[in-house]
Amino acid sequence: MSLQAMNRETARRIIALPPSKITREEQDLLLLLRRDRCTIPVILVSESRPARVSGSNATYSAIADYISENNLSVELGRCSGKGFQQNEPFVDVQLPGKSRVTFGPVSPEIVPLILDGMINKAIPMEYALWQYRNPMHEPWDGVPFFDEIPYFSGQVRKLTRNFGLSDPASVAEYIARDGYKAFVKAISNYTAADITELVEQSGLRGRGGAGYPTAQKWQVARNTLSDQKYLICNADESDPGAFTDKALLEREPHKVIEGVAIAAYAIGASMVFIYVNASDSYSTDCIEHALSEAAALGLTGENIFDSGFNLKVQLVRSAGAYICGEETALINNLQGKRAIPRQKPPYPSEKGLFGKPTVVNNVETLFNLPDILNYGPQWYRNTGTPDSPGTKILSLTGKLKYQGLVEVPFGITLNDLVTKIGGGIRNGKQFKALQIGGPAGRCIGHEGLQLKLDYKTFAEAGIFLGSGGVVVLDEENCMVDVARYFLRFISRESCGKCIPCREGSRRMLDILNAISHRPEQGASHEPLERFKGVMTLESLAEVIKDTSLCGLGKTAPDTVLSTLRLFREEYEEHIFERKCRAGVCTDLQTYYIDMEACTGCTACAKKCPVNAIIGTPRQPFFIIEQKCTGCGICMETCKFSAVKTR
Amino acid sequence: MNFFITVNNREIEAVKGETILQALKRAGISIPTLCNMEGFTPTGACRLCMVEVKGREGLVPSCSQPVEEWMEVKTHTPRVIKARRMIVELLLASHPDDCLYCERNCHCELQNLAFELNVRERKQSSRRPAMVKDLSSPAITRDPSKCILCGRCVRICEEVMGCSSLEFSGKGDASRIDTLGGRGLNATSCIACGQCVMVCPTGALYEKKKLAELQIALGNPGLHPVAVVDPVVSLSLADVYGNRNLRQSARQLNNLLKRCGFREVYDYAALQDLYVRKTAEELTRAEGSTIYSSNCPAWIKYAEQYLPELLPCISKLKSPSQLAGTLLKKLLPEKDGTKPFVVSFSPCTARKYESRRREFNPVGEPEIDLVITARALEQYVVLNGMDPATAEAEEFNKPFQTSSMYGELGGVSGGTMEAVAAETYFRLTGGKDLPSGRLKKVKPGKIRELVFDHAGETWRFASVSGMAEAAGFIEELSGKPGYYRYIEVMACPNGCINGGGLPILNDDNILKNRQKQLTELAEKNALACSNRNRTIDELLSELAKMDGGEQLLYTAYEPGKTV
Ligand SMILES: Cc1cc2nc3c(=O)[nH]c(=O)nc-3n(C[C@H](O)[C@H](O)[C@H](O)COP(=O)(O)O)c2cc1C
Ligand code: SF4
Repeated sequence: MSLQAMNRETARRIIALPPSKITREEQDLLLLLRRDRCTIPVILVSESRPARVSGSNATYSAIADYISENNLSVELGRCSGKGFQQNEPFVDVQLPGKSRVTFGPVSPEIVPLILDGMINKAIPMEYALWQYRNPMHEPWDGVPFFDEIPYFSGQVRKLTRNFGLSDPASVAEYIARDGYKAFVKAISNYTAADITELVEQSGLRGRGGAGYPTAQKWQVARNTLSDQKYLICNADESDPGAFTDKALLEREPHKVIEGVAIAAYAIGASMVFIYVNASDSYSTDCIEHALSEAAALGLTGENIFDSGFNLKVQLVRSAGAYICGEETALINNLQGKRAIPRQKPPYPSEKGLFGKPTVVNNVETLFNLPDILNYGPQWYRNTGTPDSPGTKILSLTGKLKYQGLVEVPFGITLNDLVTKIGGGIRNGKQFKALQIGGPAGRCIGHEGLQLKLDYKTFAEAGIFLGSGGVVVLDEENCMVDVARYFLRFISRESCGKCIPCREGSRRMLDILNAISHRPEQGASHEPLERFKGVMTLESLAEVIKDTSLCGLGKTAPDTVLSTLRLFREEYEEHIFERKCRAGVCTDLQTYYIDMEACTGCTACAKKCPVNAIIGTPRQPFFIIEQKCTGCGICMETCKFSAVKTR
Repeated sequence: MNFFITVNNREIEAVKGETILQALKRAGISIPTLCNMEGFTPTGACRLCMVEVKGREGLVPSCSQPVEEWMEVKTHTPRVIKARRMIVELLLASHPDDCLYCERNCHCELQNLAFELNVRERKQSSRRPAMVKDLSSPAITRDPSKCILCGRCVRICEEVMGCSSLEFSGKGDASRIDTLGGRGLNATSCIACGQCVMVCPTGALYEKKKLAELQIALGNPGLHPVAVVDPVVSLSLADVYGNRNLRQSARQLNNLLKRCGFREVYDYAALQDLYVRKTAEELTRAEGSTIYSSNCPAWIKYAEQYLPELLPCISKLKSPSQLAGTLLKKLLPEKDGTKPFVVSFSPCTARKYESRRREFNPVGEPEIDLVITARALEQYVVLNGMDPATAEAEEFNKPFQTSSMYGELGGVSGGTMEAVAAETYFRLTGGKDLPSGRLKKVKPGKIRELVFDHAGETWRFASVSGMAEAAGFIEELSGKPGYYRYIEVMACPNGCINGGGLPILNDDNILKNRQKQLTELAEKNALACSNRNRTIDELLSELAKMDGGEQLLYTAYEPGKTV
């Protein structure tokens, strides 16, 4: 439902007044907006990146067509993504008085089936995934409740509790769910010092990677004298495969803005920059739209809600490189310079943007603030561990049965994450490792699964949580290849400023390339030589970590080091036996035909996909090495075992 | 505030606010660096200066870490040395292997580092895509394959010269330093000052020496090679040769040049006298507006590019180097019948660019045939197997034989300004010397000022050096036209004594020393000021007799011009 349902004055009253002070009509409106009540059937199609990819727009128009063809009185709308990659696109259906049911995947063909059934009050069970619990609604029989689905029951959905329920493009729906109350309460009733104190008590730690206590960072900026202070909301997130920060922007952009506004008030910044990833236009559009809605309601601008607090929020699109997320590079970029990190100290909180005290906070960090203010630090501390209170949003991907955006309490073991939430490895394969923290992260093997998610525990184990990307690998992943993948990313994305990171990562990549490819003609990559490369790898990694300027270089070798430590035998197989047990590094071996054994039957030549095998029938055949891609089909084909490798 | 920090188990004194590197340097502990530049904010890019600091997890860059009282530093532990050696090995991994043929062979910082850190084999090798040399500039060659991305050229170009002709581009393993927009240096805002060459640690940036051309010309019997030598050239070579008697060394250089095959050798300082006198003449004629100096070719190019509105205020007088060319070509043939081939020996790479400007190259008749820098001359002397110590002293040739004190000071920032002021005073008062002690340092080493009153009028003179500094100064002055009557601008910081064509000596005190030496030398000159230089009087009267003789001394500028 859009803002038309709620005019500006009503919205401002609802935000500013306690629930007891608002009128009956306004309360009714809130019930409608929260979908606690509906008078006509409501159909909501999920709207998120995975949903779009799976064809949610086609589903949406199929439903719209169905409604107009049958002349139904139905409200059709959108809801945000649910954080569950399987079964997209989702369609939620809610009939008056009955609880809300989620269907998925709903392709345009099955739209009529579901809608027919729904209108006749008989749900087509096979498509219903779950229903939402609501004391005001009568549940359906035989449909599991949302919190009974293993993927969700293992999670603690606090920050993401509205994901998949409300329409991100509607500020009214956000307000109906207590939106902006925390901010307006903060600027009306609390001093900036109070807010910092509350956040201090909550024990909130930065989610941008290092887990630095948020209140402490604010305090430095607060204590630094300056006529101008800045807040930067870091939503750059350009790790390959990570999507949590973008999800926050697209699923509840108003909560991001509220968090930003609270933090700005606490540190005394009247100017905020929200730094978003330029390559993702969808999340950028979402936050841009939300910003204009917030401005229209007077939630930003001059003298907000008569508190005397002024706030200007500006959206900035990043220069589009991974390093732009590093705070000093980000600041350089905001000043119109090349995005290159600089040596700290001084920290940005002392001397940042244009030399003024600047707090850089991750978007998820700020996303926690409305809850902390609404429900208090004690409530916040009830979840998580004493060291790391609260929850963490992770992007869970890889070879799991279930994948998506998950929210888990700190303290959860990695094992629970993989087996309970992720449903274990799919297709009955064996778990091999888990890569956590994006390119800066490292691999964790079986033994590591007992580790608890917690900044302190992780720091002790030398793991960097990074952006919260978790990739689960199974026996079909080659660890050398995984290391190579991340290293290639690093060596491309290093800013190029300092020698160890720039040259060192390129060198390490060269070595990995050498051990996962067969030797080039003429080059002598004898096993010993290749093994020496691996020895160099370790000392290279050590120096890169010891000397690099920024966090990227300091963590760049971690994936390689951790795989080398955990899966050394795989490396050795690559080197000495030219074997990749996962069958990923197909380029490792040179295929040739044994002249003695070959009968010239032509079978292999016919099968070769790249025509690399030549010869005359009944004479020995020959493989052209330069053409061969090493797929191995010829070897499987040959009945005389004449195809050999070396 | 001073305190002590512990370094390698010894106490050394440190000053609050300085970096570890500065404290170490004072204590005589040498730490290798590549990206560090004296007087610039550290970037911490090369990571060679890493040291161990107790309590800190990783190594710490000493160039950018301020000292703290509690610090315990270790500068040469196995861990530190391993890291430094690894960094150098990494640089060498993708560095071309052609040291023997490299411009900077034996003077290369990377080579030195590899030696100091005992790198004895190529442990790693990594390929970089082939890169093309940029030969487009008349003064400077850029060889990106030798570049180790220390960024010193980028910084000096932007922060000191205000040109930003070089920049970082690309990222990760594709990072490189490129010209702005990737064009040839020739087509960029480059003013050919050569400061990038001076700071480049390797052979990635070097001047076009033109030694082969010089040799051919000297061996051609049909030519009549003559040399014009800037006093800064002999001064800088005296540094190289360790000769303390400067006047003697300049005269010895004359002898060396003659032995190389030059028929005559002329004193650039004499032409500086001419330049000063003509400028003062112009100044006393002009009505109240500001006149800018024109003897620095890099400044002229900068103004043409960035300050076209200022061009009418810049003196049209040719620079002393071009004056020498013009006059020698016009006067000499009539004197001895052979065609002079004029070679200008200069501390400056921009002179190479200047000599190629269209207006100085009337068809088939360049005013200056060749510009050779001091750095190249040093090499040429070696090439010809001459020992500078054994050379006899020999006077310059006429007509540019004697120079005044002010003529000799032209290479220091402020020298021309002071000379012009004295000359102007002389003209205004009908022959009085300017009372001494009027020079004021507005900004040490960068801006100076000289003021006198005459007939109820205040005459202000200023000098500024360092192109970025100068641009800022000029901008500040835009509100007060005519406040200064004369402004001397020199592109290189501190003037020609810091020119881009001087031998690269890596000596922090070199500038101060050169300035002191040149001043002392000049002060010993018997001729105090330019108007006492009689040869200039003779020359001027000869010119006055020639048809359009006076015209020879002037040139013109074009906005937005590149070569
Ligand atoms: C290479 C690199 C990339 C980074 N990328 C991001 C990013 O995409 N988003 C982010 O919030 N922080 C990123 N950071 C961390 C930031 O520098 C900074 O620490 C963080 O934004 C602070 O926020 P917090 O205190 O809320 O954690 C990155 C750090 C490094 C070294
Ligand atoms: S560590 Fe890498 S990314 Fe960081 S400053 Fe150095 S080169 Fe750039």
